[in-house]
Amino acid sequence: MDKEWTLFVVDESPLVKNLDRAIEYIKGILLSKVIRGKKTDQVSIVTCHDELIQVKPKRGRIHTSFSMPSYQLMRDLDSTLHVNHEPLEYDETGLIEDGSLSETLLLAFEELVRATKSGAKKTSTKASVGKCNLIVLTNHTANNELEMTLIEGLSVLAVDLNCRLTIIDLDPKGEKYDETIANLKEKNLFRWNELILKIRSKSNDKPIQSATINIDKALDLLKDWKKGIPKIYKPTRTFNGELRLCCDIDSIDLENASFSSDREYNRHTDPISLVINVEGYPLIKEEKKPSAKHMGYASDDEPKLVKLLRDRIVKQRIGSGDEEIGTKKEEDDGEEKEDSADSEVKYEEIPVDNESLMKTYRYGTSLIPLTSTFNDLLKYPTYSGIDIRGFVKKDRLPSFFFMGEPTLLIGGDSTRDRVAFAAMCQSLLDVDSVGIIRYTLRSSSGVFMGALIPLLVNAHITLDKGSNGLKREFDETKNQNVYGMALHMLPFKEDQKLPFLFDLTGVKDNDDYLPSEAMLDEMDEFVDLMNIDDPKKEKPAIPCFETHDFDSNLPLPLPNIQSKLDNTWNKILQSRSPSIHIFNKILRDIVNEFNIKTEEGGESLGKAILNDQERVDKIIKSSFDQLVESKDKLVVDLKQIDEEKYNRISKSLATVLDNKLITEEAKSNGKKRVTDEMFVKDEGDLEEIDIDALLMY
Amino acid sequence: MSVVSKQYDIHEGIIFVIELTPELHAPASEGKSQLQIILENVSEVISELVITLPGTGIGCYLINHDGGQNDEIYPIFELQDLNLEMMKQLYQVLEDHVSGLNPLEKQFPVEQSKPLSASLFFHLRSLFYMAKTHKRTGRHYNLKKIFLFTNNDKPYNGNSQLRVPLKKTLADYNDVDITLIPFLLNKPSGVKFDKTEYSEILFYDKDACSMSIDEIRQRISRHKEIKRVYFTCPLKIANNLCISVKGYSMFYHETPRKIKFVVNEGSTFKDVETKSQFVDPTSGKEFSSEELIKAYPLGADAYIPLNSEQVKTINRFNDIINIPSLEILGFRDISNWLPQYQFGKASFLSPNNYGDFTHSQRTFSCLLQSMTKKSKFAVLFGTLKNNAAPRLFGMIPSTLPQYESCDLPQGFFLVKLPYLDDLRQLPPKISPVDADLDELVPLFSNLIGKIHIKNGYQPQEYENPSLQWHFKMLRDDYLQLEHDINISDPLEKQKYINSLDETKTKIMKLRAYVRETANDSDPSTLANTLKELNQELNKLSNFDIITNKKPKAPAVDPVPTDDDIISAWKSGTLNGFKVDQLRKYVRARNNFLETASKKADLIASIDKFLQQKFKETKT
Repeated sequence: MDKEWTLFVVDESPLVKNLDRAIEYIKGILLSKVIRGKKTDQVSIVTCHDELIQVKPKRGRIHTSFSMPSYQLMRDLDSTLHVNHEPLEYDETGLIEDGSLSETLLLAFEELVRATKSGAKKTSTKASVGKCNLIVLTNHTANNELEMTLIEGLSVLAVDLNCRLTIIDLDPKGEKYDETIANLKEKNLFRWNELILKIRSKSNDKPIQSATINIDKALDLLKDWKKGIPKIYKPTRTFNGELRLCCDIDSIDLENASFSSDREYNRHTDPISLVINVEGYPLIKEEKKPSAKHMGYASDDEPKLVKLLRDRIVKQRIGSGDEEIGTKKEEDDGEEKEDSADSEVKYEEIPVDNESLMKTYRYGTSLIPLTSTFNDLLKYPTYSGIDIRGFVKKDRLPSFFFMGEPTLLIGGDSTRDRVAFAAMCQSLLDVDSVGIIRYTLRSSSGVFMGALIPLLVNAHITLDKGSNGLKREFDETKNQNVYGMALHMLPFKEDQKLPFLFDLTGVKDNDDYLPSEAMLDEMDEFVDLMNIDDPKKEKPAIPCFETHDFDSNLPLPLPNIQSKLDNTWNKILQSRSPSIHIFNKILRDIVNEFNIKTEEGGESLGKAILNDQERVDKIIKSSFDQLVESKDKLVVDLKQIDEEKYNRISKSLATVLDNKLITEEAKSNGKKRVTDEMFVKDEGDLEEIDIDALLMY
Repeated sequence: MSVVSKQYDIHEGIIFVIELTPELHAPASEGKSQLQIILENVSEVISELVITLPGTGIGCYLINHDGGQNDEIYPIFELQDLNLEMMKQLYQVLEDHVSGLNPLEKQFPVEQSKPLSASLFFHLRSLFYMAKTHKRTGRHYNLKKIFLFTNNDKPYNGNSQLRVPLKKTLADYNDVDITLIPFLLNKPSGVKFDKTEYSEILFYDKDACSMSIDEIRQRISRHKEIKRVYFTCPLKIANNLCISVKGYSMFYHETPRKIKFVVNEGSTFKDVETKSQFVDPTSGKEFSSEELIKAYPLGADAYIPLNSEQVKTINRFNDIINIPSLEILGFRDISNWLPQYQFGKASFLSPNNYGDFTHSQRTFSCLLQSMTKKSKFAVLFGTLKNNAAPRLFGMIPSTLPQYESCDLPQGFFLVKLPYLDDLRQLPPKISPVDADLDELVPLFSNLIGKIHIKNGYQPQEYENPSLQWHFKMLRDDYLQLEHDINISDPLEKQKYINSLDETKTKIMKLRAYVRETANDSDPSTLANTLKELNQELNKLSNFDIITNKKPKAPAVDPVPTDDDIISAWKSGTLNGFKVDQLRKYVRARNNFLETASKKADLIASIDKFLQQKFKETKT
């Protein structure tokens, strides 16, 4: 996992009025990092014009060296960051004697270099092996003393460290100062902009995102769950093997299974076998909200982490004779066993040792004992590789067949593989087709059928960026697209469960089950009204895959990117998961509330929360009330539809279709029939429902 | 109003009833009699259900059998939960017939044809309550189906005195929740089944449809399937326009069931259960359930404890939107659907006629037909379950013309769309191809156009080879079937697998087809296109060599090849490989090498195998 170093530079000069907002911001960032629990995140805080600085020349003070963000650090910020009320002292040349922001910045860069170097491999020529963020919180009322030579030097450092510089203005918008200070602030801002422009001009990677923003906006970005940062995962290769066409798969597997090097068939020299090396990475994976851990909380002790022990046992009925819970080896023609109506039956739990444990497989209700030889026999050897079965037109393959989470395939390292892979993708795009494949991503992981969907990948981002973030030089005659294929799993015969369902098409007047022509006409009008296709784009959607370009866990503004997707897809794909971000926001609200206001001396946060459940309930409720007020924000707004027209058509549609809410009484009088339906087991969902809901058709 | 758990434990019982007639024994298709085809289908259904619904009860009975145990019904095997014994009985019946030892007409002679009686159907009904499983465990079949196979189109032979009670008995089936699914077979001679008499007695008139013996497979397959309801909720189409829908789970990836642990106690296997307990890691003291709390870690030094009510409050979006519910946000042309952005498995939406709204089916049908006509998909927002978070969905009609060949039920498929949180970062090495593709693209396009699967992808044509292997081995072991080859030899086993794996066969057929065109002089044939493509790609490989542009060396040590291992073994330098290299090598060949975690064990495993192999080669 890539490391991320975030360094805050806090200006404590006398005219800084909103240091509490700076602290709130730093706490917010630290808290979001702590909740995310990323072990490779490191933070540091450096102060400028700090009253605790004693040694001259004063360049700033390292408040916190690089370390993992912790709850304790957050809690200490209130008492350790203060505005220095002593007036600034100037030397004979007019420079601030106890150090300016520019000098503190140099100290900050030194810290960053030290931290990143210590983590870098000895062989690495680059200083940085991760991501650096430098966030300066100031209100620009003290001379930052940024001279042109310093700007040049700092920009080189920032680019070398691949560091994003963000300047946060602590003054609220419209804050007025007297003329001298106002002029100084303007001058300071001008110099910061110079530095940022310099940095941006030198890099096309992370430093290009350097910017200045206001504290209000920065706090909004931090608090608004709809602008939350997704958890960033380092792309992990899940497949490295061959994409094959017309290869002798039987011979390949025989070669894999045997120990023979006598190869009659060689796919690399066979003229009609095509082999392209490809790599696979996860493309979409459902992100879950944070998971809770069990803790033991006996009496008034501090809650402790617990260990889960699992024992194997058999249950032996106590008392009445030889009745046992068990499975008959053979189905007996059986004497009838009476249904046990005895609810008082008790069982003794007897531990089972490993020697008496027996492994079996089920075949219906029969059990088949598993010996080690038989177990070996049951293994179905598979070897990694992707074999093309054929191609189908894209629109002929129902995408609702797809199962599981897709994998991104890209061409291998060599020129041959990259070009061959790209050419195959381009051909598939040209003829609007997809590949049907038989694949095994990891040896012994089973065989699957799948579909390969050709795509252009993140063209808007990657095209501008060369290796090491340096600008690319394009050869206009060469294809500059980035190609990939989405590998989706397809169902086997056994995976498809199509039951018998009644047909739903047809037109009939005065019928309870089929619509009339008039109803269909109304619905047609409604479907046209609710059309959310982009009228400017007449062509079908471009087959591309665009992911986010977040490479940092910091909620900072991103540069505007020209997307190839239409507006609707962009809105869909930019939306954040409420279950993750609202949950995280409420956790942050709870911590903020207890962290700021609690006065219980040595009591831990957890204990304080446990002792004041009422307060927790209140915080959750108030957080939720805010959401209720903005309930429309939860729904992704895809299109502004003419309200009046919508109301008219929907009213007319509702009238003609006549769907009324059924009263409970009417429902209970309805016809009941148990049909061939079962509710699929859903983890954790044990709610009870009305029996009538089961009795359908 | 009665209330049941949402995890409704369904116990399906299917009775196959075959009415014997002389024509049922006559050759019908590919030299097989209708009876043989029906029994083979029953056998296939058992094999399928063992994988997908192993708790299902199956019984197979004959009527009109000469010499049956009672006057009316003769069991080939009685109704009971799926087990190997019934498989064995059916296997024996078919094996005796195929081998000629005991043909089906001898095993099951036909009594002189006589009309069906009401008492026969009453008897069939009682089978569900007298079933072995029911007797032994007290578990009822709460879903009862009778598949009636007959080519006798005169069930009461015009006798109205027989017809009336027959009709009443079959109507009563509906009241006791028994579904009768008739398979009205045309005669082997080709004479169509006259369904007049059956139309008179069946509860649902539309169930009475005649069919050829070859058509029964699909009908059995659909009717044996349980509708797996995944959710029920309202669907808001517009303001004041809501209907009730339910979602079925239609795709589920089957894998072999987990290993079950038991203890052998003479005549029985006793189930082994797992007991979990939470203990203090230092003192070993056990915490009772009252002493356990759930907490969210806050770094290494703090935690946020929340009780289940609090978590529930945070997770419930009831106050914000109606839950569970789905709401249509808009419609888009199907050409704008981007399949690369979908994930998870789709649910199938169908109207719920017993939901909270009237005329749900009619409005559902109206929406379906309109969207199909206009080739649209819908974007929806909502939740499917009470405690689920809201998300965006795509809703695609199954009735779009391009999916006609898939033979899908009519309704909508509901597909999950990702949040930004679900999209993964791209690998850093991804970069523009930066090459001229003009020569290669036409060659690939030629290949793609010619290797075209006409019917598209039909799941029913692809059996899961590893799953089939698993259950075949279990079945063969029980039936003590001998294999002609030595399966314990990896090479022999692989050869046997190659012959069974139909997914491979399909790929090998494609190769064979391409090879046939190898000697053709036409440059556009598949073989010649592939040759040309390989030549072009080899030029690129040569370019890499000339410009010394070697592919970047992998960061990890390469996995040794067989040759590397053999030569290292001969020279006694296996120890020179790194543990990771050996582990990867052994894992890739775990069908004949034992996996281990320590280096010495890995080397021992390789050594043991090579020693044995060496001895075999010597002998």
